[in-house]
Amino acid sequence: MSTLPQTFASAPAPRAARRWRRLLRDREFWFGGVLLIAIIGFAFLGPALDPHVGEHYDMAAQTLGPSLGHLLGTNVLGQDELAQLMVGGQSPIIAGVLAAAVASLIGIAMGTIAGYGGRLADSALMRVTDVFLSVPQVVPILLIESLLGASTKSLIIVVALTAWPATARIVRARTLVVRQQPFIEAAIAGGASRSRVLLHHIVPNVLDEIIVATTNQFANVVLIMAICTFIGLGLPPPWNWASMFAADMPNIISGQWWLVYPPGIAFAVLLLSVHLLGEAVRHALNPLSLGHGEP
Amino acid sequence: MMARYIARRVLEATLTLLAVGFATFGLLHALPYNLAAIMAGPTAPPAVVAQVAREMGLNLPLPAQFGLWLRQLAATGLPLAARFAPLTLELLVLGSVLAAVAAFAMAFAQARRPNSLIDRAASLAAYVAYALPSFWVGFVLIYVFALQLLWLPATGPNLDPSSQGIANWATEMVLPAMTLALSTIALWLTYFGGAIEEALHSEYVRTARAKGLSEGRVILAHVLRNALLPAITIAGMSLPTLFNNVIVVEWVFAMQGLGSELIYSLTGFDYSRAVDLVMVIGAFTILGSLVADLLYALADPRIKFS
Repeated sequence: MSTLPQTFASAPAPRAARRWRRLLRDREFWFGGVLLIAIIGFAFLGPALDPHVGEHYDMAAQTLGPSLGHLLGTNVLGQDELAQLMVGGQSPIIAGVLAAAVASLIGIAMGTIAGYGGRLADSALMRVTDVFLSVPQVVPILLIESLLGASTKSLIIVVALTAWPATARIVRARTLVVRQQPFIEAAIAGGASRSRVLLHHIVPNVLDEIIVATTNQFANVVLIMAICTFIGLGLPPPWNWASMFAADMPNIISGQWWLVYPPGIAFAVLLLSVHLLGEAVRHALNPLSLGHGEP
Repeated sequence: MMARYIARRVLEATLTLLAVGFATFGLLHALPYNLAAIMAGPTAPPAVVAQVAREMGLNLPLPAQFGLWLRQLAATGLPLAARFAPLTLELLVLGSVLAAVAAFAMAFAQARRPNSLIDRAASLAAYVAYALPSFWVGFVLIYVFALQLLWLPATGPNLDPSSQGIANWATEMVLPAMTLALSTIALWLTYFGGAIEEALHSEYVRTARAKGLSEGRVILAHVLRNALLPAITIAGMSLPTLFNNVIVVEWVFAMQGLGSELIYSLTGFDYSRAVDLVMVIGAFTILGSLVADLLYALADPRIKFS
C-alpha cells in the first residue's frame, strides 16, 4: 500500500473504470446486490433444495406451526409455507421484470422523442401521458382484466401499457435539459444525424435517470400486479405471494399466525433490493445526483 | 391573469376527462364481444339484452352512441359519486395528512443530522413502508390492533361522522388511514427532503443563521414553513397513485367507497355499474388535481401563469 495520497499514486482512470470503482465502494450496491441475489436464489434455486416442494396435500401435516421440519409452518391443506413462498416468488418476479422492461422501453422511446423530436411530437405525447397519469393505474387494469379474463400474459401487457407514461415524463424532462448542453450543439455542428445525436449523445447522458426510472417502474408494476392479484384479477392463483396471502387470510384470523408475515416481507425484500441497486448505479453514473458529498 | 389561468386549467381538466371517457368508450367497443350482453350481465335473457342494446343505441353511428353514453353517464354516475365519493375523499385526505405529518417530522430529524444513522434509517423505513403491499399492511394492522390487542375496530367507517358520532367515526378510521399513509410516506419524505436541501442553500436561511438562530429553528421556521404551500400540489399530483391503494384499503377494511364498489361491481359482473364507477373515479382524481392546482394558485400569488 502506497503512503502517497491517491491523486498522486494513480493517473486519472478512464470514466468507466472510475464509475465501477465508485459502484464497488457503495454500501447500498453491496447490500442491494446481496439481497437481490438472495431473493432470486430463494425463488428460483430454493425449490430444488426443498423436499416439501411438490407435496400438495399432506393430511398428516395440516396447520402446523413453525418447526424444524417445516421452518415456516404449514397451511390448512398441509402445504409447507416455505416451499410455497419460494415457488410463489417466481411469477411476481418474472411478470414484474417483463412488464417493467416493456414499460421502460416504451417510456424511454416516448420520452426521448418528446424531448428531442420537436414541439408537435412533444405536446402530443405529453397530452397522452396527462390522460394516463390522471387516472389510477389499477382502474383500467382491473376493468380490462375482468372483461378479457385475467391471465399472466394479458396482465403483463396491460400493466406495461398503462405504466410507461411515468417513465416517459422523467426521461423527457432530462432530455430537455441535456439537449441544451454545448456538446450536443458541437455534435450537430460536426454533422451528426438526428438519430446519431439521440442514440450516442442524449441517451448516454440520460442513462442515470433511465436506470432509476426503470427500478422505480419495477417496484410500481410489482405492487400494481400484487393489488390486482389480491383482488383476484391478476396473476393466476395459487402460486404467487399475493394469492397465497389472500387465501391464508381467514386461516390467519382463526389462529395460524405464522402465515401472516412471510408474503409481505418477501415483497419488501424484493423491492428494496432493486431500489438500493438502482440508487447505487445512479450515484455511480452521476455522483452529483447525491445532492451532497463530493463527486 | 388569474382568471385566465383558472379558465385554462378547467378546460384542460374537462378535456382530460373527455379523453378518459373516449378511451373507455373505445375500449368497450373494441372488445370482440356483444356489448349489450356484457352490459346486461351474464344471466340476462335475450329480451333484456335486446332492450339494453336499444337503450345504448347500439344501432346508431358511433359519435351519436358516444354522446348518448355521456348523457346517460351523467344520470347514472352522479348518484354513485354522491353516495360513495365522500367516504373515499375522507380516507384520502386523512391518509395524506397523516403521511405528510409523519414525513415532515422525519425530514426534520434527517435535516438535523444529515448522513447519520437516523437519516438513513428514516429513508429506509419510508421505502419499506412503500414496498409492502397495502392489502398486507392493512391486514397486519387489523390482525395486531383489532384481533390481538382489541384496541381498534377491524373495519373502517361506513357512515358519515354526523350520523354515528365523530369519536366512533375517528376510531374506525384510524387503521385504514394509517394503512394508506404508510404507502405514501416515502413520496412525502422525498418532497420535504428536497425542499430542505434546496432551502438550506438560500439567502434567507443564511440570514437566519447569521441572526444566530439554532439549526433546528432555522429548519422549522424558515425551511419547512416555505415547503408547506407547494405540498398542496404534491397532494394533487399523488392522488391517482394513491388511489391504487385506496381501492384495496377500502376492500380490506370493508368500507363502501368508490374503490371497493368498483371491485364488487367487477367481481359481480355488473359491468354497466363498473364502467360508471371507472368514469366517476376518473372524474374524482382529475377534479382533485384541478382543485389542488387552483388552491395553490390562490394561496401563492407568485405562481407563474404560463
